[in-house]
Amino acid sequence: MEQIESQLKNFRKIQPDKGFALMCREDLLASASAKPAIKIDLWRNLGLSLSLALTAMLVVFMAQNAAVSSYSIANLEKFEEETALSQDQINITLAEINYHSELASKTSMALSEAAAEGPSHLNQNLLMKEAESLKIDSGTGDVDILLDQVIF
Amino acid sequence: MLEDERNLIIRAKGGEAEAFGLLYDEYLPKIYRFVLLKTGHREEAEDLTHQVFLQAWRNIRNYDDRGYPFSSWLYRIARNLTVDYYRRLRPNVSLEDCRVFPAEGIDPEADLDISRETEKLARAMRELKDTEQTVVIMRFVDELSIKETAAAVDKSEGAVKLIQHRAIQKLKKLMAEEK
Repeated sequence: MEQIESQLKNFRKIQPDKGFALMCREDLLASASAKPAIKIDLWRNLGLSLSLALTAMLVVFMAQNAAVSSYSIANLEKFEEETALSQDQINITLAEINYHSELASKTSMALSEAAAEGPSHLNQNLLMKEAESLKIDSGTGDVDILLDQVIF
Repeated sequence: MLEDERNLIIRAKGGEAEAFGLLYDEYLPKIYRFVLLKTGHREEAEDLTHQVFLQAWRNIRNYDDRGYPFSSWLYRIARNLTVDYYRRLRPNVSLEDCRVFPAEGIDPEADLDISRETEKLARAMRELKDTEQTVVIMRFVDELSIKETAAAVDKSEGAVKLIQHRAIQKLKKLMAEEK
């Protein structure tokens, strides 16, 4: 162990070449000066920090607004779709109301006529008279035969 | 350690080249030895040493002396650069180039046996792992403290003692095998 250690001490005799040492020193100190010191100006830094903070806040605010806007646009589209559907439903409902309203008025009219004139349309004489006026001949047997052929 | 090393560092951090020059004068031989023993190649060692101090000078503002010796910081830069060197160039370096000696201050003709033994030891050292090499050079060649060495290799002082012991055992074995 001691022998190795004493042998290792021999390495201390190693010295760099004097020419190299001098040239390296000159080159080092002449060409590679340390980076210039950055003067720390508290107020300037404070101003810079505030500006950065404000910018960051502005960016966050704009991003949020953009998110809200896009959300609103999406909602508007959905709303329009829903409105179109509702519009169709309303139209259908209105048509139904009109139909029922018309039906009701016609029914009401028929009922009031029936009440005023009585069941004259069921009068046998009247029906016969109408049949004669239409001149329906009794030869409907052919039709019955033809119908039977078609059906059976 | 320089008595007024702290002041020199403060002045160098302020951009005073002459202060850094004094730090360079103090640490150049150690860093050069460290790099040479790791690479085994004089020209490469000179280039890398130059790069170590260049990087140190450019980044001296980032050096924080709280509990971290300046020497350890320099060795750490040197170690990183030699690791990079090995990654890039090791396959291209021939055995003939990997000679530590003759270096300035040693006359191989005058003391051939010592020179041969030391050369053999240098070769054996290159068989060690990077951390083991670093610890051996810092502790036994440059006589740095355990604390400084631990800071440079980023390990605990206990770990450094263990690495040091293991490395010496390996060196003994490698030297015995060469005989």
